[in-house]
Amino acid sequence: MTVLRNVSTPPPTHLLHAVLDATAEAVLLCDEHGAVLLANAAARRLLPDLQAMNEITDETDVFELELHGRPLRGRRQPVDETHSVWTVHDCTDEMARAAAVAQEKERTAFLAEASRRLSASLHRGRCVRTTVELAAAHLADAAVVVLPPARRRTEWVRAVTGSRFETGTMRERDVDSVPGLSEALAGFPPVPSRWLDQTQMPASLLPDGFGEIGAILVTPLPGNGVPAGALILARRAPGTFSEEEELQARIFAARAGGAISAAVLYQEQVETTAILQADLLPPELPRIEGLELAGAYRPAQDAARIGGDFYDAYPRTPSAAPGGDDAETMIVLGDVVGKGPKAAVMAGKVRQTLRALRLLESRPEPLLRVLNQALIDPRDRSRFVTLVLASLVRSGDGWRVTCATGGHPPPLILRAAGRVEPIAAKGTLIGVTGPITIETAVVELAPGDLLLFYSDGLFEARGGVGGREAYGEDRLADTLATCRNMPATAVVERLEQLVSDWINGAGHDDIAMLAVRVPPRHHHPVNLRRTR
Amino acid sequence: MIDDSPLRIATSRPSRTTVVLTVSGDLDFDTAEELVAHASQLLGAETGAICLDLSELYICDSSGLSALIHVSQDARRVGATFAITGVTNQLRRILEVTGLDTVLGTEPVRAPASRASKATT
Repeated sequence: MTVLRNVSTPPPTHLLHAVLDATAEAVLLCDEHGAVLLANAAARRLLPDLQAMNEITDETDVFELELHGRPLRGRRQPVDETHSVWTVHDCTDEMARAAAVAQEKERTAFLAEASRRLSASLHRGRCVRTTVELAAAHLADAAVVVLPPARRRTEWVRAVTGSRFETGTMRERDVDSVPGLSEALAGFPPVPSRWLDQTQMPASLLPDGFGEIGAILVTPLPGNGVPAGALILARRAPGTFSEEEELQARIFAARAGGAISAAVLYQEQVETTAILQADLLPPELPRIEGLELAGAYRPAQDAARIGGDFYDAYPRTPSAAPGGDDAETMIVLGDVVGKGPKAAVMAGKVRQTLRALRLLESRPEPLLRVLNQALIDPRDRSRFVTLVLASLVRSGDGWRVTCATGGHPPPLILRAAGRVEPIAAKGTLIGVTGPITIETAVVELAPGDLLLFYSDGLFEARGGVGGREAYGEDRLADTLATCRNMPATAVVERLEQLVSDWINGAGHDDIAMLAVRVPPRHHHPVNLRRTR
Repeated sequence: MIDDSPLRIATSRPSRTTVVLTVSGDLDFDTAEELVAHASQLLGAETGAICLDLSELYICDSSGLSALIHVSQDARRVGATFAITGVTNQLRRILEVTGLDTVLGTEPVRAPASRASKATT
């Protein structure tokens, strides 16, 4: 074992030289003219051309320069009046490490940016476009996303660095001809770039004039169970993608795949909901002789949360059974509890049941009782519908309205003279309990009178000065009173406008309303439908 | 404490068999499930009465009404009486229009001050 200790006598010169030679830094001893008196081994290796040193030594005590491809950093320290020592350091390794760190930082920044941009949209097309644009900007000269085959078509979206994305479709044969593509679309792990023959890549997948392909990389875009597609990266420079680049491409593909499949799921859900809710859209109101009808439906702002407001109007229909009674003119407006697909399905049930029942029974009260029995679900007695049913028959030059409600605000009457009267109908909500109470009201409508049916979204609309105040029944009645002599369409439009001002852009429930007016004498009937 | 739910439910037990839930904020499509879940957790064979104090309820939409029905039915299932107190004018109007005042089998007009004693009746 070597023991280090202080020595009193200096070592011989050849040992001092050996010590200098053993250091990694270049060490030079110069006189005041710049002449090199002594150079160690590192100095002779790094600075074979000592002349170069002379040029620097005059000017400065520190220097940085590149010599024979090596970055060097040097420093002068005077040792006495006339002599100085230069130490010169080779920074090649340091610089390489710094470059690697910078590259890693750049990759991380890119992936963070990619995540941010990819998560900004739940639209599949936009997610795919973002994927190719990001990949073409950061990972390769060209990027192609090939989507899973659907309806025997395989779509692709591509981008070349510095230009806009393009889309197209490819044949099944072409999918097989791209090395590694069918495997990636089947969800197999990616094949290293060096095993992929870029010359097999069909020219049609890259734009004309892209030029020779140097290397390709094919990576699956992982999805929920099945891949969301595959990402093809192509670069012009010959050689393969490095391991780090492949890793980065895989991480990027995982994020892109996640974003795309989330968008696909969302889109499917929205489509399903849209199909269910198409049934909720206000129907084209029929033309009914001697009545003006106008409806408005203002769905909730959030499409996925559309509620179950609905209305229907049926004209008098001759009996289907020989000798039976005709089905009278009927108006129905209702609101199903909850939102989204569940509400849509229930609203569909209610409407269909009523559509059939009214052919057998024109009196609102028994109709509501049968509907109640039909809707009670022993497994879930908290789902209900509130609705108002009105049966209308001609009476002199006006109409007689028989109205029953099942837990719904009764319609308001706006008399031709401008007075607003509530209808005294009252009843239990439908679908919760067997025994229900229903108090039917009968009112006469004279020419010029208007009947307004509305869903509770109308008087519950939150807004006003504080933004949280309900529109309210009283306000609704007051507003209706200002609609005297207006045609049904104008009344509905005005109410919609005023409620819209009230909520002033704030979120709201569905709002449905239907106005029925007996045209004033010497007036042509108007029958219009409004939807938004 | 940060509570980002627009619905707040406070539980108290004035007696061993009585549960009082003070429900405040918005009882709507987004929060209705919370009330149902909260109540069903508390309801057991030993529950004699459950009472909802709604005096601080700000919004109650159709999903909120559905939750009230749900809790009342859950209560009935375990043999507990169900009551609501502190019904605001606005809620009373909604309960009248929907006929729920009868369906829930309660007298939803009592002042919230009497909630603890009424809950046991």
